[in-house]
This record gives sequence, structure tokens and C-alpha cells, in this order.
Amino acid sequence: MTLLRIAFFELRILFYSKRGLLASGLYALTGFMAATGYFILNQELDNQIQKASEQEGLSFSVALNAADYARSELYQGFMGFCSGLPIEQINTAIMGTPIFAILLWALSWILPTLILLTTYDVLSSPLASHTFRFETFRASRLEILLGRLLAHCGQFILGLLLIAIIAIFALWSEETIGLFQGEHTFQSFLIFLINILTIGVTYCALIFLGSVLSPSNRGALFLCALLLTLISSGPTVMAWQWGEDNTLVQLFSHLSPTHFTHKLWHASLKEFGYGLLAYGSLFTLYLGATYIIFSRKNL
Amino acid sequence: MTDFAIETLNLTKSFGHTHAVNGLNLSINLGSIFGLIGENGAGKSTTFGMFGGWLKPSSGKAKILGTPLQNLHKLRGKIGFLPQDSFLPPQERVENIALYFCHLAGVPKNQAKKERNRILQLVNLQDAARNQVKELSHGMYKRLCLAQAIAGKPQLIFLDEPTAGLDPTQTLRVKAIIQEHLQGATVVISSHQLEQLEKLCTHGAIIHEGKIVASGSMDELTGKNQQLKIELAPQTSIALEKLASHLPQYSFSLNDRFLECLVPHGLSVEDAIHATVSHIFADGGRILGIERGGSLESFYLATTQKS
Repeated sequence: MTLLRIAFFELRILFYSKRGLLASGLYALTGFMAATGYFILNQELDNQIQKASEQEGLSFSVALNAADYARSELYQGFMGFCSGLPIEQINTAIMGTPIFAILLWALSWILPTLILLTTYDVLSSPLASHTFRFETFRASRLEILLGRLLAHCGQFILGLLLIAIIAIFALWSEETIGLFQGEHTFQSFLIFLINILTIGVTYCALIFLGSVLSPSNRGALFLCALLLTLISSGPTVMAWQWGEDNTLVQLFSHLSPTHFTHKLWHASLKEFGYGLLAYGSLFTLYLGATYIIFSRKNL
Repeated sequence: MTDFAIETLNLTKSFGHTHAVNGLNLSINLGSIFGLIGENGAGKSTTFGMFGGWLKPSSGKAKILGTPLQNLHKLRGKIGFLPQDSFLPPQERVENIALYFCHLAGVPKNQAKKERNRILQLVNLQDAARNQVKELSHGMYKRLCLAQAIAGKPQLIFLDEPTAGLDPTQTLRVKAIIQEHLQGATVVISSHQLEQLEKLCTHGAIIHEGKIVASGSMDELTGKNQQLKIELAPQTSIALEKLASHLPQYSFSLNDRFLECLVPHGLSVEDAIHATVSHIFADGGRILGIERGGSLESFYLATTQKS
């Protein structure tokens, strides 16, 4: 109960602050960008139909078939690129609902930055201003930490809702909403939500770790950005330097959430489960480290 | 059930090689208003920090309301704290902050708003309830911090420099709140303002270089039961030897026109006044005034210089 009280209070503060407004704006912008990207992709494919029918003097139905083929090839290539998986291994529900696939891919790249911008001072700011001193005699440090984590997860969940609403409205205005009526829509939406929540919560825990390590807000921003960069690009750079089979590279790459992203796109339930387990483990690792440091800190 | 609100045994807090609090042994009676007195850097705020749970002791033990310090959160609602140099979220409204701390203090949901209104009224902030924290003056902010400390009527309240930076009117208001509205609760106050503590507190301790160098009731600390200072009229002369032989149980000294009398432990100060004054009058002397004990300030200076 105390945990929820802290979470609601923090969430209120998040939404009433200028940064909260900025975060909402960024989430909204992401929604617009995803919808625009999706719209442009569709426009491009429609142009291909037009071209095919004009240049080759094909009948409309033949041109449509040719364009569908092009659409299919382009789309499959795009999906393979996004997921990092051979096309036959990608979850058919995700394949069948392009908007969620595009949103998922875009968000898995943008979300870490959004979470960084909205969360980097979650612990460093109250540490610097000694705000925790009003809570330490009324709640355990675990409750204080989890309350804030819940609030920040709540913020990005509400941000996701904002993205979804804006994307849907943007697509509706272009009358492409029909694409949501596929047989896999609900399943795809569910997978999209699970994936994005898993990724978001894990990155939240990572940013919490960066935030607790620094006694100042600027330091926290720098540390969190450094952590994100190291975790995201570190394994690739290390593999380039020492080769992918290097033990240290292997170990380091398993600490990075990006290493397991493709599993969340997988058609196999087992692989999908492994993906969730990996993200769960990383979340526990980051949050556990944060708690250990936080519980020993002088507030 | 313990009679002590706080008991510590060799409580120590070190920062690197510096011992901010060094083997603190302290007992604070339930229901007392206790003053923790010490200069800057003496260890007052560090001691408060350990009691408030934001500093982890390096060694030693402490119990608060019978509960070990490491289980402090189990006392939720029984402790209130006014920390020093701590900041509340500036963009949040006063009423929301007060309500939040009522909730955190364990006030039932259906009584929380009533309790919030009570504490805001007590610190005279009811008219600023809809203001944001950043709009408050220093005095109003300090009173809001005091309000959160007394939310939920805690049994034990720590006030770290409660009147620092307040004007005389607000200082009087804070004193009145402590004296009139916190009755029954144990109140521990840390302050530099010795005169204020002397009037406000029933008990106190002097902390110097991280250690308690004196503690007891305020009467004991100020020597009200051990010292008498009698101002003699100008024409009065005292024969000290005669006085000492007549009242051998007391020690006398004469300093200009002031006769000082030390009353040993176990003897009544009232008896000492009666006997000494009777002797002076019997010898035809006259007195201008009697002062019991010294000031807390003089005792504090004497104690810290000695140690």
C-alpha cells in the first residue's frame, strides 16, 4: 500500500513537471513519426502499383498482383532487417500487422532514449536535495525504490498509450485503418504490448542504476547515457575488435537487452519465453544492483 | 514496554576516517521534550540522520520506541521528522504534499483529509493550501515541513533546527505548537538557540565531538538544584567563615556583591535558600535578589571547554 502511495505521488509529480510535459510531447512525436513512416511506406507501395500499370501497360489486376509481390518482398526484407531473424522464424501475428511491427521496431530504438530523458534523475535528484529524508522513517528503502520504479513505468505506459492513440488517429485520417482488421490484430497487439513493456521496464531498471550511481543530476545524465551506449554498442565494438567468440565479448553482450530483442519477435513460443526470461533476468540484475547501492547509501 | 523513547549503545557513524558520532550512549525518556545541544559539526544532524533512517550507523546499537534502528519502517506513523536542509518537490501543491504524508504516516483513507486540514491549520498554512511549494516563503516552507512531521500524531517527533531562519513571531508559534499541541509525545529538538531550548525542554544532552558529554533534566544541566546566586545589598557584609561553620553542608564563595552557594546532590535547594537567607537576615544583612542555577549557555560553555 505504501508502495502504491509513493508510486501515485511520484506519477503526479512527473506529470505536473515541465519534464513530464516534455516527455508527453516526445511520446506524442514518436506516435506521429511512426504513423507518418507507415503512411509513407504505403504511399511508396501504391506508387509502385501506379508505375507498374503505366510502364508495362498491364491491366489493373495484373499490376496489383505485381505490386503485392513487390510489397511482399520489400516488407519481408524490412521485417527481416527489423527482427534480425530469417523471415520464416518471425511470429506470423507480427508479420500480419505491419503497423505494430513498425511501432515495435521504432520504439525498441527510441524507447531507451525516451526513458533516459524522463528518468535519468529519478534517484539523483532526491539524493541531491535530500527529499528521501521525508520518507525514510515511513517506508522501507525497497518500497521507496519500487514506488518510483512503478511511477516511471506508469509514465512510459501512459506514453505508449499516447503513441497508440495518436498513431491510430493519424492512420484513421488517412483511411488506412483497415489494416487493423486482420485476423492477427489482437494477438499482434498483445505481443507488441508484452514486448514493449518488457523492453521498457528493463531499460527503466538500467537507467535507475545509472541514476543511483551519481550524486548530481548532470552526472546521472552522463552516466545513464554512457551506460546505454556501452550496453547497446559496446558488444558490437568489442566483437569487431576481438571477435564474436571472445569470452568477454560473449559475457558483455549477454548483459545487453538488445542482444535478446530478436527472441521477442520469434514464432517459437519457447524462444519467445527465453526472450522474456532473459529480459526478466536483466531487469532483476539492474534493479538488484540499484537496490544494493541505494540501501547502503546515505540519503 | 520500555520507559525510553530512544536508547543507544556505542552508536557510531564514520565518514572515511572521521567519526562524526563516536560511541554515542543516550537514553531519552518517553514523554520528555529533549534538547540535543551542540555546536556545528558536533554530530547532532548525523545522530538525527541515523534516527531518521537516512544514515546507516557504522557500528553500535539503537532502539527507537523499543524497535531496532534497522526496522525503523515498522514504526510507520509513530515517528515524525523535521529534517534540516531537505527539499520537498517544488511544483507540488501544499495540500497534496500534506495529504501524501498523512497517507504515508498510516492515517486511514477516510480520515486523511481531516488530518491534513488539522496539521495545515496548526501551522497556519490553511490559506496557502493550494499554493505550490515553490511559491512559499522560507517561514511558510519551514512550517510545511513541521506539518508533515506531526502528520498522524506520532509518538516521537524529531525536530532538527525547527526555528532556524524564522522571525520572532513564527518562532513563538513553533514553540507554542511544541508546548501545546505535542503534549504526550516525546519531542527531540536539535538547536543552537540555547535560551530557547532552556525554556522549552524538560531534558537535554550536550554533544561534543560526536560524544555525549553531559545529559540530564534541564534543571540538572542548568544547576537549578545545585547552585544559588544571592545578590547582596551594598551595605551588607558577609563573614564567610561564620556562614560556612553555621551551614557546613553547603559550599559558599563571595564574588563582589554576589554570594554563591553550591548545594550537594541529595539536599534540597529550598532548604538551602531558607537557611542562607535566614542567616543573612539574622546578621542584619539585606538581599536584592536570588537566582537559581546558571544559564544553559554558561553550562554548555563550561562543559564543552572542559571536555
